[in-house]
Amino acid sequence: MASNAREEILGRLRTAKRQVPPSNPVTDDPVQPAKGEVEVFLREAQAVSAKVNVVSGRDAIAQAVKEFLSEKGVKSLFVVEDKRFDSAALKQVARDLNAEYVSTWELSEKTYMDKAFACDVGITCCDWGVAETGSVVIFHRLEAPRLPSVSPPIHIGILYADKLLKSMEDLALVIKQQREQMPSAVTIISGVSRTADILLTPTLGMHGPLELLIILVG
Amino acid sequence: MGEVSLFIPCSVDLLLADLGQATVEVLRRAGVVPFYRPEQTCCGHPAITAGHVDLAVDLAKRFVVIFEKDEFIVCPAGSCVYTVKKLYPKVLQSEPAWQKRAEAVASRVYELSEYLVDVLGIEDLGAEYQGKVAYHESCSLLRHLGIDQQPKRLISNIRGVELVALNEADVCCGFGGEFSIKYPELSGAILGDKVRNFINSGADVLLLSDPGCLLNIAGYINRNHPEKRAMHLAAFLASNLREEVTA
Amino acid sequence: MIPQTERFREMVLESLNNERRRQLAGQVAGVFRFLRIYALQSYADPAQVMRNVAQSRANSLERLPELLERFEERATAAGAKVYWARDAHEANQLITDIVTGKGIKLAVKGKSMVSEETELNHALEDAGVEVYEGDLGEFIVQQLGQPPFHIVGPAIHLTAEEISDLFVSLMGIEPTNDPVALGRAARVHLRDKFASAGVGITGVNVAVAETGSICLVENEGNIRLATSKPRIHIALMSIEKLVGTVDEALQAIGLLTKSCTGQKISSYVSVITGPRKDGESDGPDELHIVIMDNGRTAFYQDQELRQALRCIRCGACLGVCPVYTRVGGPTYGWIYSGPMGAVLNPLLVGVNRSKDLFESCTQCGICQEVCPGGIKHLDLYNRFRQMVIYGFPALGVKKEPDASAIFMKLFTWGMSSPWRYRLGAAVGRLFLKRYVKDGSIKNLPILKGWFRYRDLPAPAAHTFRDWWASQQSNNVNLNAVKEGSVTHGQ
Repeated sequence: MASNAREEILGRLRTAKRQVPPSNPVTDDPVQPAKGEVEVFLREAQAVSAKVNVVSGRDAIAQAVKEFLSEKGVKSLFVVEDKRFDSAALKQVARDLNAEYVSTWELSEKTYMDKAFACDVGITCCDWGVAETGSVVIFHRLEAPRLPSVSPPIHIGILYADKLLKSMEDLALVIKQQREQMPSAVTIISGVSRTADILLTPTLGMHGPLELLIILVG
Repeated sequence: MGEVSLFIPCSVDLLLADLGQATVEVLRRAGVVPFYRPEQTCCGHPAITAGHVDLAVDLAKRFVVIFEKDEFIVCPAGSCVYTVKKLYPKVLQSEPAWQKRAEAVASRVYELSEYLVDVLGIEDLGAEYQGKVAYHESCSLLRHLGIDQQPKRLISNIRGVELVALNEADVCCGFGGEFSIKYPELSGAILGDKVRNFINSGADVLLLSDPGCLLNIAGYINRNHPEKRAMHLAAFLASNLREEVTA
Repeated sequence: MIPQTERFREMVLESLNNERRRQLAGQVAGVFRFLRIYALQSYADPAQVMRNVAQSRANSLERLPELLERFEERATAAGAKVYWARDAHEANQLITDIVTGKGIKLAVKGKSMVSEETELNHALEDAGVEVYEGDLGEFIVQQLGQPPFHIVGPAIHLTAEEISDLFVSLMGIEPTNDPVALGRAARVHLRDKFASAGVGITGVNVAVAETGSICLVENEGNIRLATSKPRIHIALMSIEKLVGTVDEALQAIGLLTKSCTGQKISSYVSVITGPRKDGESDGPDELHIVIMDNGRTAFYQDQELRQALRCIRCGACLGVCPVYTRVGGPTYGWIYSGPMGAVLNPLLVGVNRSKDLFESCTQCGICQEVCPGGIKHLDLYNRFRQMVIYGFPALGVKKEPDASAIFMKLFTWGMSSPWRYRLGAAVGRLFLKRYVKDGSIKNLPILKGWFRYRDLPAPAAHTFRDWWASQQSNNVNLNAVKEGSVTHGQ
């Protein structure tokens, strides 16, 4: 019965009178995605209520995290460890803040899920940025799970400045380059979660993070 | 000097002859020679927009036959010009030969201010008015025909006039033809807001370029705000023309 | 949602008489109009982007069966399961079977208009599944059992007090009028639904054929949570959501968010391709995509009606429509409201029973101007009117006798000959003159709707043609260049 539905639906569409446009010729020379400017990114990210801290290099990341989180009284950090930052330094930051340090690696499924919904801060790398919209982009895969950037109330995203793209068109090019190996999910994050569902009053923070810090490196 | 064939909407012929006279006055002041073909009746707009497309076929063909020898066909109503230019192709779609003839005629049909400004290059007719006016952008002109600068240029060249800003000038007045009779509360609500914006603008007179909008807005003002006026741009120009013009 | 499109007139009066509703509908107008214009300015060439997206929508529809097949192939290759449903019943059955087959008792939902078409929530609840809407506005109206007010803001018509009362009874919070506090309360309440739900059910904003991906657009984060934690993700989409390429999808999404809420881009866009891959810590084990027809292939057959499928559900037309902005969403009697509702409800629910929706249009055309899909709403309304006049068996539209049809026939017959016209004019003017008082007509025994709010002017003393004829016969040479004309003497 299910295949009948498919054939019926497609059949009706196929037999309708259509003016099928010529398909776009596939060009051999690939267009390269354009780089984005840091000033544009800073302006746009702030416009969507993300905080941005520009640091000089990998070694400065941990300090930026510490500065942002001090005074917030956070009890736990949920960290997607990655060679793009110094985990040991972050572990020290956790100790300095009297917070639990939870690495997402090598947890049982249940513990991972429980921690994802219990931790105060999620710390992840971001794979790309888009200057035009102030967005950070994560290509989710084994090394880059989804929840750490959405379930904790604070998200800290680390982005290297050489991964800054100019516009959404450029991001589309990058995504297309994945071809048959699309990641299971790509998330484009532009600022904090928000809603205006009550009285059309815009409020920052809904189900996703209430705060977003982007550490822009280099 | 150029001759211009007058396309007088049925509403103007039957109810608002003064507006037709003003159109003639304005065109003569602009130095052209208007003539009138008395066989014309109605473009068929009410039938077409109500969905009675078949009933409008004969009217469309009549229009084509009456006007197709004329080089410039000028009309003081946006909705009628819209009908001929944009709706006749659909009305005549099952008769391609007629459709082609209609398209040819349509290319020579002009709304009045469009004709004055774009064809004749005239923006100053030598009118004078000391006071504040506001301009309502009829949907048929603004959105269906893309005419918005021309009426405003004609207005701003009236000596002594102050064209004030009108809030939501481009929002519909609520006429919509049959709509005003079939859905009176909705129409009244939209119209009420339009008039409220007019009053808040501080203008004495609201100018507009379509007889439908005119009947709608003037009818409301007459009942509720008799101290204010709504006038068609042609009528306003004609009634404020200065006597002498420097040669 | 059970259609009530026949009640339009009644509901218009209710809305207009509800001062608060009226004010709110007007506020919605002002806010969304401004936001959209402001956001579009961030494009170097907004008109070009509008044309691009309209072209993409049009082309995608012409290639729809090929795109659907490609999408199915790529999505399946990525590990998703793709199903086809002819109608609401089949879609609900497929989804309910998946959910109950796995013994799932709790579902979280992202906002989905097509799931409202099918009444999926009821079907699931009847099968013993608890369903929670994750979007704050949808959650609120779901709990209150009310229809949504606006496609983007379903609950914006409710006062803070009403929402507070609901949350007090639901969650035991302290009463508050602060939208932030209310939002936080909802966050806490719904959080463990996200954490414990066995399935996340969403719609699809745009589907991409070349990669087999589905794109989901949101601000709150409920969709990200619903598609990351639960083991199963079910996505329900109608057939027209397809585009060919990733770039088309992102361009359409950028225009959607600007047109919808005035945002350059929403807080989150998720591009999902298949379930999670081996070894990933989160994401669903299974992704089930249900592609639903529910009446669309029927009007797809007609090349003009087909354009209705270009709609990307941005709601821009609502914010500018003079009718919608005075009465709000529920008046339209079904899921889709505003100019878009006057296009879709007749096609999906029935043209005859939705007559008032497309007849209550002033034909101002502003909807067409703001539509990212390039839909010509006025052409569609005119088609619907024709269908009701002439009948349209292909969509089961019945010819309806209408009093004004007789008038129209008389009118056009009269207008098609000069002597009949003059005779009719003479009779008509004589009739009108009887009702003139102090220079205007305050009422007539016919066309009473007009006179509720306005007068008609007394007809001028003569018709234009009589005046013209009299000028000729008085030897007033109107055909000479007038003395004192602007170009005289040149």
